[in-house]
Amino acid sequence: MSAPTLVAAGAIALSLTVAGVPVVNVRAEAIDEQPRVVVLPSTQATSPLTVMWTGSPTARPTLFRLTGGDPMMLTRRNISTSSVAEVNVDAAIQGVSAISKRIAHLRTLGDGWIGDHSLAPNSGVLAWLEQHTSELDAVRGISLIPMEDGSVALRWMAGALDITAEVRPDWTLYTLVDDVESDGLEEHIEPLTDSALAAFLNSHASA
Amino acid sequence: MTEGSVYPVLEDGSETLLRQVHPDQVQENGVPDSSAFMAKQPHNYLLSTRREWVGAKQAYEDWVAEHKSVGTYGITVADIHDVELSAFDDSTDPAMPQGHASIDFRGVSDGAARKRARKLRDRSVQRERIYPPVAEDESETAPVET
Repeated sequence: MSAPTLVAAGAIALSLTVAGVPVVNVRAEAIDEQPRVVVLPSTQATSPLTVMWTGSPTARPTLFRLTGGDPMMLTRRNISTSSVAEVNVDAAIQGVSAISKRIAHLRTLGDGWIGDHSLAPNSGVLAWLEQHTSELDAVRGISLIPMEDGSVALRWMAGALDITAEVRPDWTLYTLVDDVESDGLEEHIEPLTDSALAAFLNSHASA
Repeated sequence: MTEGSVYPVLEDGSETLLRQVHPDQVQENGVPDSSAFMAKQPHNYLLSTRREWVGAKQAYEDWVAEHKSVGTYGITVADIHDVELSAFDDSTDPAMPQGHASIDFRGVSDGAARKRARKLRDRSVQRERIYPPVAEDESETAPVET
């Protein structure tokens, strides 16, 4: 699908990520000099449409979801049409899991990503996690956080438990259960195996 | 009082040290991960911050000149003491920027360091991000009018 261009110059890009929606119509217009992008998912859409608004470097991309054939208008306050760059629709991301998208992003981080002495997320670690996306997608509220030593930490809350499962480049799995209420702490390190990850995920699924 | 007779230890509990958080250290729920408030071996177990007098905006701008950040968060010296850590001003180190201070995680076990970092994160997030102010940034990601 071709990307409609609103105006030539500007610093703001809207990235529309299609997830499971077969057809998306995007219309750009200016009403009262405020840019609006109207997204009309196919009425046959059975999965939510994910729209990622990447308005500025300081703002975390925000995800909006709509279902069915309802139109959604995205606006940015106090910005003229001349500052909107373009709208891109990435149909290639259709059907990709949230974990896979996150892993794909982590692959873009290089050495020094967070300053001197920091290492890129280890490629072997990312490849191993990629093999377990379905298990990770099933953990409610899970986040993949890169560490400076190339490890990737799986982080989530289960009730009062703040949980970490850190996959390390030396092929070990470090786990930590931090009880926010009792102030208790359980940590463990073991060889990284499919069964070790599965056992930990199963015993500490989100509440 | 000095740290190893080299750098002055920070004692004023009311001072807020300034910490940057990388976008990839933010969890899916929008909350900074506790790893952003913990120091590990690559940095000799010293967590880098700027002194309050530098200013949250300046600290942010200095950092994003070469790195990424979602903004400046604050950690008070009292918070640091409450989790049984200390901080010192090491800005006289030629490798450090003006007003640099380090929170000392040396000698703390991995699990204990993570717990303390989580507590520092919780306190900092409770006060909300200092710069950019949350209200200003929220307007940029305002949803959707239907």
